[in-house]
Amino acid sequence: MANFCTWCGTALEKEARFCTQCGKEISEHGSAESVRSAAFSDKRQKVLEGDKNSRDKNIIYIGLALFALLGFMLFLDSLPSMVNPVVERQPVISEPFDYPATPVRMRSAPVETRDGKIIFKLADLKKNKFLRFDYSSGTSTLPLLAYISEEGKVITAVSVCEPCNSTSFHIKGEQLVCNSCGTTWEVNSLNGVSGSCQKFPPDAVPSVVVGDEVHIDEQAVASWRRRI
Amino acid sequence: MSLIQVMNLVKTYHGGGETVRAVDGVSLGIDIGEFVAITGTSGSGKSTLLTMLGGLNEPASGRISVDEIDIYRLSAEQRADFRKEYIGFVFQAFHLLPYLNVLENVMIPLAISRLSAAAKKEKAMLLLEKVGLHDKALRLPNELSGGEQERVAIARALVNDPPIILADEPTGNLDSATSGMVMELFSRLNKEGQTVVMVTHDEQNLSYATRQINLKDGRLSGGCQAAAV
Repeated sequence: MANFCTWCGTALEKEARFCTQCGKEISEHGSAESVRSAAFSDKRQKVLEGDKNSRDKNIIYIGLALFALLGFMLFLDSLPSMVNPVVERQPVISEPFDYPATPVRMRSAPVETRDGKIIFKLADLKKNKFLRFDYSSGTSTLPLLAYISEEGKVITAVSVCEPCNSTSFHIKGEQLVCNSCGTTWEVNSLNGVSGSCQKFPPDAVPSVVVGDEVHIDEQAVASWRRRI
Repeated sequence: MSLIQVMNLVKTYHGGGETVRAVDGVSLGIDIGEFVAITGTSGSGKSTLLTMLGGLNEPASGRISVDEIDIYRLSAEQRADFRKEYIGFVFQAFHLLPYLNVLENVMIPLAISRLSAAAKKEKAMLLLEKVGLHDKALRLPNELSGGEQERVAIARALVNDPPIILADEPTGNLDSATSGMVMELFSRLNKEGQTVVMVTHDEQNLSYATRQINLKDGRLSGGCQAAAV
């Protein structure tokens, strides 16, 4: 009970039932519950708890924005990690290792064509890490390259940087670098890292290890066409 | 407990090395559906009291609770919400924006509401109809008479469905005939359940109020008589 008259404001004894000034009965104003209407409790909630609706909406918007951002980041992340299916299936011939920060240059290596296979020596590759050889059919010559990735895989590819027409590359750190345009790709995946020709790494061709030789299917190379 | 509960309210102003107690220990309660006129000579503290009731003017001490919300213990943001939800203000100077038409003036408090534009317009039109000005919705304020402008200000005060209308000398700028019309409007709103607290020193207005509270030097003075209804 208020300790004053709610009608005229006169101060009252705590237990007073009537106002000593105006005679109003104190209890007749009733309790808060009987006074408050439903419309006000709605307003009261808005004041005391903030506008929950709009706050909820904000949370939803923030959530959606975060979700979209996450999706976008995953999308970005998925781009460079696109798997080259040829590289993926290449055989492993050594333990993982790191290329030095100083450039590793291509070395010419002997190659022979036998029984529809282009063949070079595994020992040459293991010794030099990065080989360059030419495949000659009757009418044309196509440069090829072979190197060991840092994961220890044999990677064999057509040694052409198609946009700039260079046929020579070097390996520096974990990157394969075009000697002409300087475009770089990851040694392990052939995914582009920097430069203008990233979309066109040396086109990988499948190869298999047979004994102490590496075999490339002649047909795969003979039918090779420039992508651009 | 009343809708508005004022406990031992004190407001002091400092100036010229002096401290003035504009409101000096006022306690009162106002119930839902009352039409209270706060009277007193100028400087008696009635406008100060009204702005404190509206959550616009923090008291030096004492407490005001509205619908059991202790309004000066709210954060500034909550108190803004409180004003939006509970209070409609009507001033002596109508404070209409001269470059907006009547309808747009009424819609101003809805600017931050989530209602659709059509719903806002409909609501504002309904209120203009209530104050008898729906046919002047597209006029600019300066094309309206003083009484009409005050009625626009009343419609604007009502647009958020506030349980309480606080009016500070709403007829101070009006001649007595126009005053009568505005007071009729307040009286009609009150009979529809609207709680109205009005500061006035116009004797003519007192007859519309259901209760008169008289302030003198910041204190209640014998003002507990209910006006003849």
